[in-house]
Amino acid sequence: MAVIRCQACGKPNPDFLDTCQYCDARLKPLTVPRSPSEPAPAQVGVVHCQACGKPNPASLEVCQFCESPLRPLTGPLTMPETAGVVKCQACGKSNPAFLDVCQFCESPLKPVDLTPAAGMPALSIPTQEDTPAASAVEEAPNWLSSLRGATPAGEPETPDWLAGSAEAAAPAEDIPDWLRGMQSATPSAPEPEPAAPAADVPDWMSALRSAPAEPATPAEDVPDWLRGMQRAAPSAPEPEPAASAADVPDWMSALRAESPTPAEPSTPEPLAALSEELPDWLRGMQSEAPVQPAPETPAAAEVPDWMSALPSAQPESAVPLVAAPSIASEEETVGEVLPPSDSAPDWLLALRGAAPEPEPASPEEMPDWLRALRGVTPAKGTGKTDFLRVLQSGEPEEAEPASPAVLAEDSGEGGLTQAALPAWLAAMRPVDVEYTALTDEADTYEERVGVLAGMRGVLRAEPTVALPRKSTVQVHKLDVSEGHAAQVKLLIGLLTEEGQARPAPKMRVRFGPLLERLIIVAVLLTAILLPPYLVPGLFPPPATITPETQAAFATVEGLPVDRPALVIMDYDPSNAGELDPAAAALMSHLMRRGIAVVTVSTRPLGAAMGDVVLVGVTEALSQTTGFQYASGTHYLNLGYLPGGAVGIAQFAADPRSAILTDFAGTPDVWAQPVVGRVNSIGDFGAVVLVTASPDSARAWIEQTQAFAAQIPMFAALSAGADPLVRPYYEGDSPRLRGLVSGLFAADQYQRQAGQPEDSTLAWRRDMLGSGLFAAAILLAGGNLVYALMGALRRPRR
Amino acid sequence: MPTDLPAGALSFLLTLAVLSYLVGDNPIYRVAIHLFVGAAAGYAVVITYCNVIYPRLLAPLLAFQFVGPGLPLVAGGLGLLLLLKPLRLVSPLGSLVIAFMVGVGVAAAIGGAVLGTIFPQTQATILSVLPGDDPNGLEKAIEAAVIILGTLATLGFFYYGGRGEAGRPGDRPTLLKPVAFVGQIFIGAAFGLMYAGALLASLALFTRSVTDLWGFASLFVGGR
Repeated sequence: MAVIRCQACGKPNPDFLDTCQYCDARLKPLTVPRSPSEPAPAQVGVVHCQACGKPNPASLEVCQFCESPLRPLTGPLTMPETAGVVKCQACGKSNPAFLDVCQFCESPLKPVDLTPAAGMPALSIPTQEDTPAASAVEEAPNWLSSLRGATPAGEPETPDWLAGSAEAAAPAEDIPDWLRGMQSATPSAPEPEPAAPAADVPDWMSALRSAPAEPATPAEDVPDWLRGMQRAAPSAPEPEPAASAADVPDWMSALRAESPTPAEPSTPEPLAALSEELPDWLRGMQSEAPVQPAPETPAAAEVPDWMSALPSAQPESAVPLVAAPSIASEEETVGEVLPPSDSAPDWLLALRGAAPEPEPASPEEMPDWLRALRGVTPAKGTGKTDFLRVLQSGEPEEAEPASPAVLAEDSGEGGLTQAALPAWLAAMRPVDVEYTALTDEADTYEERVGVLAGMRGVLRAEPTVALPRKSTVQVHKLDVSEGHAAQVKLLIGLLTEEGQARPAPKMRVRFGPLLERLIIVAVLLTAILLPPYLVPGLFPPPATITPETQAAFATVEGLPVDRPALVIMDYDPSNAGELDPAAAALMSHLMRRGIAVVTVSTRPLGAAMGDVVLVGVTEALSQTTGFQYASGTHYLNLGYLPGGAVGIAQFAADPRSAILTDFAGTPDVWAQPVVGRVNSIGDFGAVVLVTASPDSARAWIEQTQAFAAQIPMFAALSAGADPLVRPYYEGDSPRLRGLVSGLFAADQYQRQAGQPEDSTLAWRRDMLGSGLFAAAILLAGGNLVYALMGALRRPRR
Repeated sequence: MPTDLPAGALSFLLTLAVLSYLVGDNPIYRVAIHLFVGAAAGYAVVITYCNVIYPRLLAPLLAFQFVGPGLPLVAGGLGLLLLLKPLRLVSPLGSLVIAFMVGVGVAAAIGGAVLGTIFPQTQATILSVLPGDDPNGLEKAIEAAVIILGTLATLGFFYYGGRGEAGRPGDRPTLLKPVAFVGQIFIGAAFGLMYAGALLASLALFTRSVTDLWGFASLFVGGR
């Protein structure tokens, strides 16, 4: 299935649609089906002005742009009657054909013209006098007469008795001379039978008697001018009576039978017979005339109205110009009795339903909706629209151009026909756009993946319109100035230099920060190194002890001696300078009291630190007390405890499964006497936390909360971790019962426990005191300088 | 203080190398740092192997004790999967082990934090500001008021519910601004205290290093 993209909205449509299914724009150009031998018309419905060359609707007589005549005047018969427009000879403006006087200047529009239309049989001049009824009909305008009838020429409404009187032809005197001349000049058509019988008997009575009317008109009733015409006309054989019932016309037979009898839609035989007797020039006109479905009636366009009413008065044996409207079906009636389409405007004909066959408009020219309204099926009368037929057949069907004849048959006489607008109204229409023939956009894309694989014409995932494109047309030339050229040259130079190897630039040494750093170091070194030598004992040993340190000491003093104390050594060698004195003081205090010490660490290096401290404490105690402390009996280093918080929780719940070997690698660690009765962390006498990390302290506090809530826990902390661990000590129900924070607290604890002072501790106390003093001065001085510099820089900003 | 000469000399040189950072980054400092890091890592590997890998994994497997403490077979399998983590094709297998470890660790940490930290410390802030009959009641009442004020003000400082207007940054509600200011003071004081503790710890470590260096040097130059 091919796809046609709408030129208006750009959306794809199936190729069997004529209008866009999204915006109703026309998808296919209007084309006129023609035979191959026939030259292609320029454009259907469009007439190009010969003066200005612009397109105009075909319904216009003058160009809507330059008001030049669009059609050449070929003779008196080229009146624009077909368009339903009459141009006023006085003011030159267009008027509808049904008007008698100009709507602009009120000048008479229609001169009497009895010239028969091409292809029409010659008119017989009535010889009877005009009847009042006929006069009344004549007085009424054409459109009113037509409306009255919707039926032929108003006569059917006339009663028979009146019809009989109306049969009286107009007197010869009433015919103007010019008409007489025309009639005499016109080859006489086969003269119909005299219409009316003797004037004595009205026609309606004749009808009641079922007596056929006399076909011949008495010679005395024929005026002279008519006789002359008859003589001038070549003699034609008497036509056979048309009706099968002898002299009875069809309509009367139908009346008698009280049943509708369809009238013969085709040309009656008398007319055919007459056509054989026509002169050559008239035959030529007939042959040239287009075949119309209802050409039987004389062309009333050139016949006055009163004369159009006369056919009812013609002899019944003559051409049955008028059928019985009351009994004939509408189609038949319309086909037979309506006046020629040329005499009435198209819109009126459309109302009657007997509009003349439109111009050979092709079905393609008509939109679908109009086709549907008309009942015209473009393809062989299947009664289905194109797309429906395509859907049913499963394959696209080539649109077969329907001939005008077929269209005429399909459209039916009762269907809607395209009305021609009067020129003055057509001039208000928008200009017809000349459509250019477009080639169908056949999308041959075939989907290869997905559920639509194998189908053609599917929408692609990435429409081609969305793909970035680059115009191949150079829309403008770059105006490169000298400045632009210089910048381009500079850019090229930069890009070139980037690819070349260059020596690394020398790092500039910022002397400002380096100088500040050296000054600080110098001050600190001076404060730390000089006092121990210059002023030894500047910072004496602490004479007091902090409450948290005293609490820790008291806790150790209160521990049972039959249960080992667990010391957690969670610090690295980098913190050994601060935490080793505190750890040593606590372990020494514990071991002095006879409490076994068991160390463990969640840090690999912490296990080693614990071993170092244990060895140092036991050696010191052995030297002091002379007691030999043995590993596994008086102390034990369990080593590294992996797993972080999870390992702590496991150790708190089941130490035997968490630790398999001690730090020395002893396999059966839990068989040693110091931990022989330990099955959980609650079996220890106390938990001593030595750490420089608040996270480690929090992890031990949190994970042992459920298993060691009843046993005492205290901590030896780095001074930096003290603020974050202190809340566990100062709460209402503190988890920690004491704190030994920093080097000063370790010194206090050592003194409180009565342990011998380390020889280096006095040095460190002096260095630490003076160093803190110098640091405080540096901090204060630094903040002051920073504030002054900020104050000095602020006005500059 | 190291008494043997090689260890003392090495510690002296390495300490000076680290202190050389005073004049900026230099190769001596980098060598010292690399030595320290490498020695620490190597020592950690040895400790881990001796305390964990061998007793928990290798020893049971070599003794064909597949079911025992620590489930050596399961632990070995998970360890192998973790070793496959650097390989791109089988890295998802290692991710399973990491997910297991992280999940268990987070669960243990959250449980301990709720029971061991959040509840106790929240309870510690529920204090009475009335002196009562305690002789130190007034002091305790003031301390309780400061604790309550500091807690609420600090929480108010971390209130991020302010709405920003077009062209202007988001700001706290007007009523919370003074509370946040007080909380900012408490937070500043806490950070200052931690900095002071860190400075004190650093000075303590520095004094330890200076003492060790002086002790080693005194072996040669004599002194105190």
